Amino acid sequence: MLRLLRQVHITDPSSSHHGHILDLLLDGGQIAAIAPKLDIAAAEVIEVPQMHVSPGWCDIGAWVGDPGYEHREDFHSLAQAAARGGYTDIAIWPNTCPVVDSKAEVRYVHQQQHLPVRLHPIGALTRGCQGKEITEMHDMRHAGAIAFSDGLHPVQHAGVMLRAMQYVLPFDGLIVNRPFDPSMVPEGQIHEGEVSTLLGLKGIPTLSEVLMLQRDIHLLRYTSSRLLVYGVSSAASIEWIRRAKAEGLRIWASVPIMNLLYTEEDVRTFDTRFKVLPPLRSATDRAALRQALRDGTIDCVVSNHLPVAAEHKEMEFAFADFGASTIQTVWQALRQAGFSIEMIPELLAHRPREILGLPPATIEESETANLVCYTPHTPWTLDHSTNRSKSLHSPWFAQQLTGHIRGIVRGNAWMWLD
Amino acid sequence: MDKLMAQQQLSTRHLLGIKNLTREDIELIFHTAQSFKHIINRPVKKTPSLRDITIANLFFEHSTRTRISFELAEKRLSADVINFSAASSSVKKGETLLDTVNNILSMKVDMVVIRHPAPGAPHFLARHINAHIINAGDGTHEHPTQALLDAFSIREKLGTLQGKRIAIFGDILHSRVALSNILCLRKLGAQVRVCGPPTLIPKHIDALGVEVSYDVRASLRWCDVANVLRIQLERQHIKYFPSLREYSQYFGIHKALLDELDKPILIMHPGPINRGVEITSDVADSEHSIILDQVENGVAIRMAVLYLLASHRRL
Repeated sequence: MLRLLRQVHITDPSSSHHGHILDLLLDGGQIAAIAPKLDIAAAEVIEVPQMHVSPGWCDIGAWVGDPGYEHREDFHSLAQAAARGGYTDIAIWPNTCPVVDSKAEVRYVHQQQHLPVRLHPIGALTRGCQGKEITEMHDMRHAGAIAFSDGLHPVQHAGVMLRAMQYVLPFDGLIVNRPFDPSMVPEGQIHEGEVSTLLGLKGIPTLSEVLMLQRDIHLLRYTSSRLLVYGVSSAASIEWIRRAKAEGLRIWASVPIMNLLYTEEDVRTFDTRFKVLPPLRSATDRAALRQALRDGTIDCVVSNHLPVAAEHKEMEFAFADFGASTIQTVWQALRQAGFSIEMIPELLAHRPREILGLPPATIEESETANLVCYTPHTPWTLDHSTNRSKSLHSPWFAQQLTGHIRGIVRGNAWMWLD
Repeated sequence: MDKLMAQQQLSTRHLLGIKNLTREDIELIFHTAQSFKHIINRPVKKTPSLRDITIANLFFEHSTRTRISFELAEKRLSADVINFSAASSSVKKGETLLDTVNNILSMKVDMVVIRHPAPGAPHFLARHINAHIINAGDGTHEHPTQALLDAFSIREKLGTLQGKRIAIFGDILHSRVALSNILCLRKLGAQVRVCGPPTLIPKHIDALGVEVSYDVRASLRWCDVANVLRIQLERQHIKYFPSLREYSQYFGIHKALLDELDKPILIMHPGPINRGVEITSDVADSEHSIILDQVENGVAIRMAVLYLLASHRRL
């Protein structure tokens, strides 16, 4: 089927058409033509004023509860929410029940091809994500695992991490680890600082992130493996990543969207929507994270999407689960954090695909269509009628946002959202 | 009393913590408590002030002294009182807490006194229900009426808090009494120092404008008042110090330490006392101890808080 996107702003710094307002013709999952004016009688014409087209966003490390926790998020609800957030590719955590720690579970994820968004399974690094024995990573890789990680559970044992980094060398696999040592403060609830002291909540020190990050950098140097540092939250970590990159280590880093927007101050009212890991830290940390993202020390932004059921969120802060539903509003939040429309495709589309080794999604003729269409200045609100995640616990819920995702295209999958 | 108080009221409709009170609020509570202290020392101890008010005491955590003190204060004010107690293990889920409270509120309760193991539980209730909420201790967060009665008791003995030196000894990390005391005493112009093993002192406590010391002897020399806290073993899920024996030797307050001082200091304890651990009996029972005054003042302070919040409703 032919579709013609009429007079769209091509917003893709990697494209020769970047910054131009052009007609874009889609044919059978491909970008068939890009020109100032195309007249194709057979094509369905889509014309929305002020519409931008960029490469579809790509997330690394969103959580879905299928199998085991479908009441929190299933494939369908995740894909619907992600599509409305502008995502076309998502690498998902292995923390389901059972855990994605063998080729059977990897294939189960790959069976979900009917969705508008492509889900890429991240295989568990250790059996059951228990941090003890490494998994059959060769097998999982052949079945389609895109990277290896224990996801929500950082690998605590240095020897296990060492062997995992070594084990993936033959196929140059990517290891993803969230640097966090919970043994520092086992009952930590929020960032350790003045606010945690005032609220009587156990604080999670920055040190619990930096210590594990340093360990992982040492292991990376020793093994020459590849590591994505997932979810950097503190200024102190940035310097270590900068040095490791300067040294030539194959290291990348991501920052969760909430840490770019919010700080420990937002927890002052015991609002459980802000109870997340990594914790929201100080305003200084937030400023450093934004700067590191601009200068490339941090490579990309992740949703850190972790929907939680209401009965584990609408309760006393100390008993509530960590996590928030975020994937539908990452683009708008990045705009709130001061990132330009032109810069965002780099942070949400190109760099995540590079890190994962996915083919680039560039807006050029003859390329496979992998697109997000959006009107960046339209007011839009995440509310009961627009939210598609099973969780309502988003910091942006009921907030008026600027920018509306209108549709996504991924090959032959076409999803127009309203 | 009603006439006097009708002109003034608290700046808040709940007592969630000292951090939500102004200095004027605290002064008003003290002023009101002073009047109630006279009343409860009369032969006829009751006043009809809260005759049309129903108060629910919800204790999701064990308590003897605070619960009885609140209940007595409520009865002295002629309020109708219902008591609810539940072990914390049975209320792990917020829905249960909210459901429990909503059930009680559908019986037309005006005020809720809540003690709960989770920091912020009273704030959670305040967001969800209509009644006035009084925090009677929420986990390791705040215990505002304890701080008020402590400050009231000090002022009663020393005349003022301004410039006085108060040292708080013991398990600061797990103590809601410490946090509320620090906030209250600082608002009233006192200097505050915390003293205990480093593992039991929050790293960022100095952000609250207090000094930190690990030296009990030096801190006793420094202070006018020593407020000694209980070791909260029930909140310590990992080992913060190796043994009670060593703790009492190096961080406990005993008579020999006080005998070394060149001036008498007031000794306080919010109770219940672990005699021989954080404080020895000869110190707890000494002439300088005002521990039982604290208990008496607790009733007057709680009467004042209940009364003022109820007045808030009427205006």
